[in-house]
Formats: sequence, C-alpha cells, structure tokens
Amino acid sequence: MTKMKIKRISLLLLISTVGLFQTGCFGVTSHFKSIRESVAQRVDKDYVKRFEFGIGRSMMSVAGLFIRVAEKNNDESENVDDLFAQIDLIEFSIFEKRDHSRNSPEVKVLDDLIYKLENNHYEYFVKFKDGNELGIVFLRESKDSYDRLLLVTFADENMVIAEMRGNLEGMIDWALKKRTMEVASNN
Amino acid sequence: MKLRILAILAIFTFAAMININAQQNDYSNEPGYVNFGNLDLADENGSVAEVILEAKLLRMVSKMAKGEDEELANLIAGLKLIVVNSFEVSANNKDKVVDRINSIDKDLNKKSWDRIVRIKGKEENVNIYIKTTPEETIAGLVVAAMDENDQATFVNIVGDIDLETIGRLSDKFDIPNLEKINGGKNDKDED
Repeated sequence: MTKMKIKRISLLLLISTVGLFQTGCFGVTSHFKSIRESVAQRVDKDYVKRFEFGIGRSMMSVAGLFIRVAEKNNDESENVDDLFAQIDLIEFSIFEKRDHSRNSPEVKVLDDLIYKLENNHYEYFVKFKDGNELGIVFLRESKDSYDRLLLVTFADENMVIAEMRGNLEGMIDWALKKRTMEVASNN
Repeated sequence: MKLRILAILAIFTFAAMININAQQNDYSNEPGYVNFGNLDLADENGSVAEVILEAKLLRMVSKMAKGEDEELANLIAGLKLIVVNSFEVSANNKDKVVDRINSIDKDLNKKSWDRIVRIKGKEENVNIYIKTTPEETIAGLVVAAMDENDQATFVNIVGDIDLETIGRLSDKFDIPNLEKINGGKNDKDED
C-alpha cells in the first residue's frame, strides 16, 4: 500500500470519526436553548449550568446497545432499547446548585414552570415528588399530536432539563406506567 | 373603509381562535369534572404524584392500545380527562387528608353525585362517586381514598364512562381502587 493511499485512508477515517461524533453527540438547538432559559429563569440565580449537549440517533443506538449488554438479564432492557430506537434527538442541560446549603425547590416551582411554558404549547401530564427528587414532564403540542417530551427534574444538588424528539408514543406509555404510578402505588 | 372592516373581522377571528383554545383545556363546564385543588395535602418529605391526561393525550394512548386491546382502546377513546393525585400519608398530614375526603364527600353530595362505593375501616377509607346525566349516561367518576399502605389517592375521570369496564383502567394506568367498582350503583358499605 502506497504512502499516499495510507494518508488518504487515514484522512477518510478521521473525517468519518468526526462525522460520527457530529451525528452522535453535539451542541443543543436554539429551540432547546430558549426552553432552557425559560426554565432557568424561574429558578433564578440558584443554579449554574455545568453541561449541555445533544445526542442524536447514532449515539442513541450505541446507548441502547450498552443498556442491552449491561442489563442482559433484565427483560425490560429490550423495551428501553426499543424506546430509545424511536427517538431522533435528546438534548440535556445539567445545572448545579450554587449554594449547597439552600433547600431544594418546592412543588410551587413546578406550577410556575407550567404557567411559563404553556405559552410555548407545552402541556404537563406528570408531576412528581419523591424524597429529594422533584420533577415534571411536559409534552409539546403539534397539530394532532405531540412532537417533544420535556422533562425537568430537581434531585439533590442538580437540576436536569432534558427534551426528546421523535416517536414519543412508547416513551409516554413508559412514563405513565413506570414513573408516576410507582410513586402512586407506593412501590 | 373595506380595509377597516377586514381588520376588524381579522381581530374577531383571532380572538375567537384564542377563545377556542382556552376552552379546549377548560373542563369546569363538564358535569363530570371535579377540581381537587393543588397538592397541598402532601407531607413535606413524602412522595407525591399528579398525572393529568387530557383528551388529546388519551386519544394517543387509545391509539397505542388499539393493537393490543380493542376494548380498552375504545374505553379510553371515550374519555375526556383523567386526573390522578396521589401522595404518602403520615402522622403529619393524616388529619388533613381525612378532612379533605370528608369535604369532597359533602361537596359531591350537594352536587348530586351518587356514591357507589364506601369503605370505611380503621386503615382504609374509600369513596367512589359517579355523576349521571339526564340521559342516564355516566359523565364523571371520582375516587377519594386512603388505604392501608398510607397512600392517599384522588382520581377524577371525565367522559363517557362504562362502569362494567372502567376497572380496566386500573391495570392500564395502575390507578388504585378502580377495581372496587363492580358495576353496581348501590351504596355498598364495608367495615
């Protein structure tokens, strides 16, 4: 193999790897940034942003593979894997509390978020508090369906904002059955 | 002049559209709707959950269920709203919860709801009510309960309800106490 050929192949591999990461993991969309700002404004100066990133389909497939390998004895792992396979994009923003001595937010914060986001066509359908964890799940309306699922949770020192886009039916079904009803039935 | 009329028409149309959207989420005119208020009964350290499934989301859930269970899908498709409020009961809030269950009972009696299940024991307190329309269909269902696992649940289901099959929602959404409905309209006291 000539030196030229090796160089060309190496360049191709490098571009492909960068390309893979580009489709797998990247910055967030302007839409998500505006939603993140709407949420962050409500908690004012209590939290500081630490990480923010988006995960596309290819990285989701890798994540699904890890779940299947890690949970190979768990029947649910295939279901979770299937759920992720239907998602096109997940965007995350992770915040940390500035002052760790301050109390965690109360349920009232969730009501304020509902009020703030309803103008952006977000409807909440799940609200929960479980020990130190507080959270709310929204769906964004789009014509006759929903095109985005937004989760805002407060747990210990962190606030996480996550939004997913894609075929949400399975995720909604899962959220209804697993998350809130576990709390509701005290399991 | 024509432009002014068009502008006025456009404003009225826009205002009407906003009004329609507002009414889509306003259930206070529904005979089967009950407003339980906020989750202010919850103990500070306990767990709390609220689930609200409006018509649009219920249609989606119905569509998802159609492949597995047509009867369940049809049941869900006839509903307009499901609200479930659930939280842990402790020594701190037990009295407030019992008071709320009793005040809901008084309120619903005043509004001509029929209580179809009443279970009042040491550890368990369950009331289930239905709202019947003049056409003798059931437009609403309420569950107000506190069970032996120290869990309080308030459920409101609005829409076209069939008592024979409504218990199936208990499996689908894991809503407690719906299975206690046996399709009868008589008040059943259990102690």
